[in-house]
Amino acid sequence: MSERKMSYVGLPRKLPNSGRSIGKERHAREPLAKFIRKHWPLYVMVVPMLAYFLVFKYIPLLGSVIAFKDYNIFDGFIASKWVGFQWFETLATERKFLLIFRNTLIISLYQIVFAFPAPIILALLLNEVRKTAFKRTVQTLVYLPHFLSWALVYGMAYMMFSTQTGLVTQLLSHFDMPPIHLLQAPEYFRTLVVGAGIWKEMGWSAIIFLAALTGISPSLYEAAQLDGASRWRQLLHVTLPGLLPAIVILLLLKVGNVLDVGFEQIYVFLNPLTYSVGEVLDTYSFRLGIINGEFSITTAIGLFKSIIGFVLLVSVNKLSNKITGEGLY
Amino acid sequence: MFKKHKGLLLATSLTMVVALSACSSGKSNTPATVAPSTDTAASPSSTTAPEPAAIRIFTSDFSQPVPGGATMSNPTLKYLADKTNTKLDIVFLPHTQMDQQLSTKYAAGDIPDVVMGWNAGGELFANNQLLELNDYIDQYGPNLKKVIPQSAWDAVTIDGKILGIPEPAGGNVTENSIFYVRKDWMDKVGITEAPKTPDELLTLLRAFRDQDPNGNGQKDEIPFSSRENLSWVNNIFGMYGQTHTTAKYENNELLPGFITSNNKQGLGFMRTMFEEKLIDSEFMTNKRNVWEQKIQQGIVGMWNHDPSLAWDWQDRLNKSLPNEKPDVVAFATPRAPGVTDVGSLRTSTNKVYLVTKKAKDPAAVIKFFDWLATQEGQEFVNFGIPGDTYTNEGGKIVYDKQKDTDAKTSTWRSLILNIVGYNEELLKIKLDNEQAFEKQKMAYEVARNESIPNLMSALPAIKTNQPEVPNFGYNNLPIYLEAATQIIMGEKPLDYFDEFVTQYKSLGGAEAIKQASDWYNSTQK
Repeated sequence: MSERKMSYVGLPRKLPNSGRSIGKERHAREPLAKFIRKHWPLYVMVVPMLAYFLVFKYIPLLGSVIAFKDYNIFDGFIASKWVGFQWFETLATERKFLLIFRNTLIISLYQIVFAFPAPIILALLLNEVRKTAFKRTVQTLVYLPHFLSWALVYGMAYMMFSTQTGLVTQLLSHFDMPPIHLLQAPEYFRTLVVGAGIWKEMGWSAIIFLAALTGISPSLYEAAQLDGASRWRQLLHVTLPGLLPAIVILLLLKVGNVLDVGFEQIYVFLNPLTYSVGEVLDTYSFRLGIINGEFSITTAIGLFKSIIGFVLLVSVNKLSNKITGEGLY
Repeated sequence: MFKKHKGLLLATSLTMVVALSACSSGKSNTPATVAPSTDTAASPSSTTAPEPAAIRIFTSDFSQPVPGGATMSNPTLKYLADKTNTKLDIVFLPHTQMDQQLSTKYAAGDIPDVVMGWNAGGELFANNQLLELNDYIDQYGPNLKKVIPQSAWDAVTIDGKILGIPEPAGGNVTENSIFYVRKDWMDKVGITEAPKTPDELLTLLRAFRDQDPNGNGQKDEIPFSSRENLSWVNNIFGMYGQTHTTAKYENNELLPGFITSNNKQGLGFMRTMFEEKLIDSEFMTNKRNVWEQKIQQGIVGMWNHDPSLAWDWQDRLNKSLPNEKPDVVAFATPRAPGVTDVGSLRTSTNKVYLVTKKAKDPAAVIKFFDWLATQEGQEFVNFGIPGDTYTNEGGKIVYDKQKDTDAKTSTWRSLILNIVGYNEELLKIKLDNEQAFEKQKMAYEVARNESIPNLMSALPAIKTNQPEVPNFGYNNLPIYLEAATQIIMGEKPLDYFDEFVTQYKSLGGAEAIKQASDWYNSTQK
């Protein structure tokens, strides 16, 4: 078991001594420059990736300084005035900020509770299907929605739930029931958004779990069968533990992004009637930053989000390492 | 896995970039060397034709299928560039996100020679990025001066400086939203005269609701329909003298229209409409296509839209409802008692081409637009390339509208390049139909005779540093939209409006009003 787990994650962490000893040997035998010259193709191959992270991830980080400046796009980064923590103070005293923060957390929580397990369950179900043709067909059908844009998904939601022409409304009227204002009612907004997210992404996200499932050695199932384990027992004691590493990693990543609930997904469904439940940090900063050109305060929001995400990721990873022995690093 | 892929992707994209830049640099060399020779061939009198001036333009795509690819590879724009001796680089931005995309482009340091805008104020003006054009226009723009009326120049003049080249509103009208109604529905419900007051309007809408004017036996009529975020309802509010996009001067203060008592009355009217099911139940979520479809289906009786689209609407309905003999007419905004100016915000320009201080050759830019204002240029804007979509034989223009429409060139060309408000002769040829011309003329007349004065046309950008009310004016302000919808849909009483005004002021509104009033009192009085 433990050997198989290692093939997923944490290889260097599990073998700290051997890892270090490779380095030590190198130091003992030859200088760094010579080592690099000897293995130059490897280092050349690493260059594009390093350049990618440098250019697209690390250099833009420097732009975060505008969270502490009164940034004017025509003056530029350097000439804009320093204002210290003014933008963070504005946020903290902003009447709506708590509400928006709450909305973000609630929607994120819904996503973790409902949307996260959905692909796992789907993968487990598909795994139990015997007829390959049926399995493949279902799998293809459920991951198709992934390729639709959110604007299209909204269009389809409109066709279903429009109070004048919607499919659901017409069905309801057959049973003499009043139409439901699903797209305009605050009470349905979060369900609708999270539901649409599950419908769209469930099949696609299941792929990674299906891949993990194929990695479980058939001999384990054979052994379990010999011991007289039922299918349910096999699921509990062979399949699930086999999936655990993948589940833990994805859950950790999701927790790190707890304040990112998917901008497009929310934005297409949002209208003034649902601001009170649906305005989240992403849509709020879009409105402020891009529409009103308030770049500084938007950057402050982004920085705030990143810090929370970072702290959460590190602490949850520690916790996970302690409890399950699995982690990102 | 992922990291490796990214690296690979980057490596390939890097090689592609290198290859592409090699290609494009090769391309850009060719016209530069070829163009002068064709020029000398065309005008043998000038021995050394000047190098074509490179002009980079940001413009809206007006939600039309605009040409993709390099500007100079499009025949229409190539013709225009050859005629004006320029090398054009036109960047089309999506109409609905134009402001966002402009901000992002400026933020990236990408400031072109010319930017299309809706007025001379705004971000570029506030940051002193606009070129004063008075001398250039005097020197290089004789045709512009001839065809553009003073009212349009006034709209782009701040402190005596002309800051842009305006396109006067179509038909030289003064507002860009009017009431349209299905006249055939009015005939069916026995109301012959267009409503003159809000009460008469309600009577008409109720009749639409109750008397089955589309005659299908079902109660599916939507008396009035509008679009998401309270757009295209301006004339309803305008019956009371203010809309959410106007401003009002009262007690030495300049107030945004949406916090005035006039607007409260407008909201009250909308609330009644919603309560009595006289307005589309989906008025807050209708996207453009949904809204248009509802009207074309023949279930909508009345709507607000642009005056220049009078014939367009009639034509659409003729096609979608051939058996119902639809008749779309424009009518003047009803007037609530005691209100002087009704309608929508006064706008004497459709769009404005702003020349930035980054422009390399301002004279060439003005000459470029001046050509569009010549008779030859106007013919090009309206009918396309001579010999291709139209011919002009001794002053008689024969326009091949079908060909122009099929090539998908007719709409974007005139929307983007037109700089002339009203040329009756060309309009007649373009519509090619007496009824169409009359319809259009009537709508223009309605729109020429009403509007609410625009007190903010030269207002510099106002900044409050408050996230919820960052500036003066409407700009889809979330707190207003939220309060307004709650009032209209009956979730809050009408008097909640007063609470909203207090809230607006405490969230930065007071600061915005103060800055705007200071400006108004010191410069406009």
